[in-house]
Amino acid sequence: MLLDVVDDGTLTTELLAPNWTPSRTWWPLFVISGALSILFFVAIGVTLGRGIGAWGNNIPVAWAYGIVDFVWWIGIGHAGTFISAFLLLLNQRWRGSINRIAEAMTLFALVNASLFPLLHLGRPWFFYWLIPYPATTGVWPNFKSSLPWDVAAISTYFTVSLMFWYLGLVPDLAAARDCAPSLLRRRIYGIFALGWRGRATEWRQYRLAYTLLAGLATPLVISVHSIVSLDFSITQLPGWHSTIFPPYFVVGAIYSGFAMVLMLILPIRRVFGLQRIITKQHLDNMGKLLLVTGSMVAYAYVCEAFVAWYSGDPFERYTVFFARPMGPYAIVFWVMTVCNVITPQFFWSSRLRTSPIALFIAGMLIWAGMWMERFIIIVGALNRDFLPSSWHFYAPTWVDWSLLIGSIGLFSLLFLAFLRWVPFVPVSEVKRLRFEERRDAA
Amino acid sequence: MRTAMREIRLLAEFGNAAQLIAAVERLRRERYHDLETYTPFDIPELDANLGLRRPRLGWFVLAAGLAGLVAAYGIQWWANVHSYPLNVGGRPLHSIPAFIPATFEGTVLAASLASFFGALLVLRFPKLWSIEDEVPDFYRSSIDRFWLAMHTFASDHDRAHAEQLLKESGALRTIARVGTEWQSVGRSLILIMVLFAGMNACSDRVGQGFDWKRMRAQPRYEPFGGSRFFQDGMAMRTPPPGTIPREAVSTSFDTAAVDTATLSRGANRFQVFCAVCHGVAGNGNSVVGDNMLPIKPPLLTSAPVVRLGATQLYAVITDGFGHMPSYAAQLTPADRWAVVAYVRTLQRGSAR
Amino acid sequence: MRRLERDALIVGSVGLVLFVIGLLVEPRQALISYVFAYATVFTIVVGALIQLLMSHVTGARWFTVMRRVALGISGAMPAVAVLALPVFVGVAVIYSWTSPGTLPTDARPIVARKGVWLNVPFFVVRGVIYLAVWVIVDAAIRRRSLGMDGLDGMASAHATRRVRRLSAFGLVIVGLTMTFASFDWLMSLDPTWYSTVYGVYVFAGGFLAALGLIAVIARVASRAHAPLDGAVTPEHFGALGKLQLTFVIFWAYIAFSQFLIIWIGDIPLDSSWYVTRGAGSWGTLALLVVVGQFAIPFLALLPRATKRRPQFMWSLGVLLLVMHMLDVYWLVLPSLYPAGISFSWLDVAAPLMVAGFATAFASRRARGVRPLPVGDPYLAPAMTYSEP
Repeated sequence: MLLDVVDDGTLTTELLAPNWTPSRTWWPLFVISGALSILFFVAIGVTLGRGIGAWGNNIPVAWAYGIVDFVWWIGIGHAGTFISAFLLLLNQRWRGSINRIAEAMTLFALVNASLFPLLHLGRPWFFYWLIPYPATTGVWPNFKSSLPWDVAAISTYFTVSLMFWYLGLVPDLAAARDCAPSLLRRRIYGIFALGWRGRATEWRQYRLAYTLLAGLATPLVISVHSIVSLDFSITQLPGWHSTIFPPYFVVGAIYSGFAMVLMLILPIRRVFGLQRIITKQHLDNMGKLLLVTGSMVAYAYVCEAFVAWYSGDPFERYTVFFARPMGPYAIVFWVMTVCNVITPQFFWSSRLRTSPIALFIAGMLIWAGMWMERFIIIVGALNRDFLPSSWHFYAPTWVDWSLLIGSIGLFSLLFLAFLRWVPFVPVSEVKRLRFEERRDAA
Repeated sequence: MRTAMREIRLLAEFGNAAQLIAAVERLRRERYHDLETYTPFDIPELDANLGLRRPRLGWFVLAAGLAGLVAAYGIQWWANVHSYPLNVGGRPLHSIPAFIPATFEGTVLAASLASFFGALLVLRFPKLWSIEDEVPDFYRSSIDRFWLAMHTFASDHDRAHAEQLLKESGALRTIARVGTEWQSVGRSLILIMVLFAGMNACSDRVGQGFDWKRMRAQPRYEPFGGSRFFQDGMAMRTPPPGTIPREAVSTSFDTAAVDTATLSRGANRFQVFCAVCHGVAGNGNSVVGDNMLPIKPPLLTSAPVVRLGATQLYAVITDGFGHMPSYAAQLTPADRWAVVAYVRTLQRGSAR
Repeated sequence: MRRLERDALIVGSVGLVLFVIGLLVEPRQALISYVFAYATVFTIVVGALIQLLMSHVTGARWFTVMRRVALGISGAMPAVAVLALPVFVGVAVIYSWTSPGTLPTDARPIVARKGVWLNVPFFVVRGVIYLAVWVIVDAAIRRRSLGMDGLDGMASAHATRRVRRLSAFGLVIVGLTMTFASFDWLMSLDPTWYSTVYGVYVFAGGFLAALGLIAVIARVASRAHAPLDGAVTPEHFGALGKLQLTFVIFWAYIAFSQFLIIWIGDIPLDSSWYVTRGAGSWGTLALLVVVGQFAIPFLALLPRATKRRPQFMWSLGVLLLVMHMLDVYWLVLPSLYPAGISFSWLDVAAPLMVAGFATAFASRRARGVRPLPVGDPYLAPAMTYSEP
């Protein structure tokens, strides 16, 4: 990393500059995201007003786009925590430049993810019944079902991610406070910086609390997506009742999340000229992680397919070998397989791993491919379950599509707001890395 | 508040981290203590020389985690085993494997909240004022300058020696005596007074300004009160001609019209809507009734309810009473009278 | 080393004699005990190979000082391949799917549907393929790794990259073959049962035990005047302890997810496996394994200080090895004794044989191998490694 070209002062002003004046591309993107977010809220309004009938759900496909989107967004969120927390624990220094973007991605993905389970309730205004409180009816949530586990998991994950992200931000908010060009901005950043002065006593507590949160966030990530996978695997449906679901979903989540992280940091790197901070080494590592997680997902596919056959259960065999590859959603299945299994294998080549274009395209394919995987798992299994007489085709309605596209819009809206107003490169960590480099070189 | 209030007797500014680390080392070797540094990034190398104690946040987090574990498991046990035992497909009431995921989440949540808020508590954040702000350009401590503060000296000579030492270590400038205790105390006192005054503006216990009379004697018309505005001298008006009230049905009932068909209808509607809480025989024997908190549905066959008039029973069904919601949406007025008739037969039946 | 080889050979031979006697007296017991012993050993050896490959791929500096330990353990691979012979020869006795007529009536159609996969010729061919893959990967890594000893500078950097690529590829095929080996040799003991995560479960247990064995050997080899004295420090044990903690949690996570999903789904075909293994003495053993392979190591490895003590890591390593053995016992033996534990002298004899011969072969192969990978560019930073 060629960080000693620049001194700390210039480094700080460079890294914080995007927070004072937005780049030219920011406004049009923000407006488009705003429009998509409005579409999102319109679709939410239709859902609340007309009910789930406005969606394409039917019996037996009672869970469709709503839950697919939910699992997809939560999965995307996991990569952020993985990069932030897990790589911190492994002392992977290269995480330093991208971890804040990744954490923000997690937070906004969770905002989206938590909306869908609320919306898919028939009467969302009664969502609080899922929380165990002494009700006048005397009835409690059923903790033998994975749905209350979801409530616990997602609320915990959101809270912890928020605290983790915010704690890491505090020193940089202090730097922003001290660099801000106007009194109003100084005041606002100052309040959120909580009066951080960079005292050694403060750094010490911060380091400990941050490491503790990272240590807690890592098993949390694994547990949250495992609980989400248990939504399906604790049932008896063929294609759902599979013991590999928890680790399979976790790995798939990190996989889709990395794809999205790449889709975010590659343009940011380009637009803000961060090639010295987010280097080819970072890209190489991300490519390798895509390869590793993609291979694990492929391994899970192999295990699922083989054991479904091995089980001798005609329903399992039908689901894996007939319904999915040759059924009504066969196209989705095959596109998904190509996107998820074949795409990462290109990253055995180190040249492709360091090519931003290749990584971006791969990221997009995997991002979409993983959505399709959730679709195949959920709708594919429900649409053809045990009795042929209960089979029913599922087709999404405009509300389903609007919710999906709108959620992407809301995500980009929040993310663009983050880029605009919050220091998105961990300035103090970069300075620390620079200090270490110069010390090691000396 | 303490750190913000403490007087700094010598403050030195450095241009890079290496110089600061070296300076702190030298000071430590010469047995100076009670130092504080201000750096734009984390420098754990300083900790040993500054004599910082190992923070005890970890134990607090562990304790909180355990509390979260017990609480999460306890809630599940209480809910599904003790309070409202739930048999789900034959699985045991106390399903330990099923309770584990949510317990794990509860543990992590409690521990994480303890880490975050514990750190904030120890650091006494937010701490928006600090004496160091008095020093010009101190804000660069978060950008590219490294500061060192010393709080106590054995003597003035000691202080001078330290200042010399810091200059030798490459300090860009040194500043003597930042802030006094009183200044900072004064600032916090002002804050407290302002907050207190603000609070007093709303409290009616301490302040004398609240006007009770205005609440008691409101300028409005009472029922059956007079008004000079209308010809008949009354404030109450009758509905305009051509309008009908919402409950535009007679609230009286012809008792002679009760026949077997009405009673069967009433019985049927009672079983569907009322028996859930009031019991099939109106005696409160129902699962919902037994678990209802804090008051159980009254016995329909008990004396107080028997004494209620039929119109009163009708009103209860229409408007609800206490916990009982209104059933006006579910039952037409005719059905409501049928239910009232059925309740009467239940009451008569139990009286025998 | 020589003494270890000689002692192991003696132990192995004693085990062999007892095993042969057992074959003549009670063949089914002998062979099932053998499967138990063999599974324990092959999971550990393959686990060590996987750790070796992973350390090359991730470039974990600290492990460089212990790399030859892992290489030494995985060096037993050819012996592991040969020791698989009784399993293949005794297929008809061990596995009930070889004689469908002996199966309960409702199980027969299910097993018949797997006939394409579960038949003796294909089974043996697959087994040979798995073993061949393991032996070849181990030999290739070994050759590269030992070959690096004489290199330095640019050649060394090139060789490191080649080893890394080879290890990445090796991980893929070893992972797949290990999964299918556990399906074939262990899961099919119960021919109607299936679990998609079984391969991961067996891997997790074996890997953890391999890490325990590495700790044990590293401790012994880093005592005063031993080959790794001065190279393996408390810092390295600390890092190894963190890795062990991770995999303790991983094993427990996989074990729990398999259990929870099957238990809560309550489908008779699935859950019968756990019903057998959860009742009576099997249930007590399961609880013991949970405590000994999760609860105790988890609590013991949490504090920073314990991981850095070599003697403590040695004891923990022994515990992990014993627990892995019990775990595999719990997996395998209920197919012979569904009602409850029925301990047999062959349960001691077979492990003596397998472990003895494997250790003897590994020690022999380790003769003349430098205890530290001198040509490795990561060795220098590894020697001065300090836990963050």
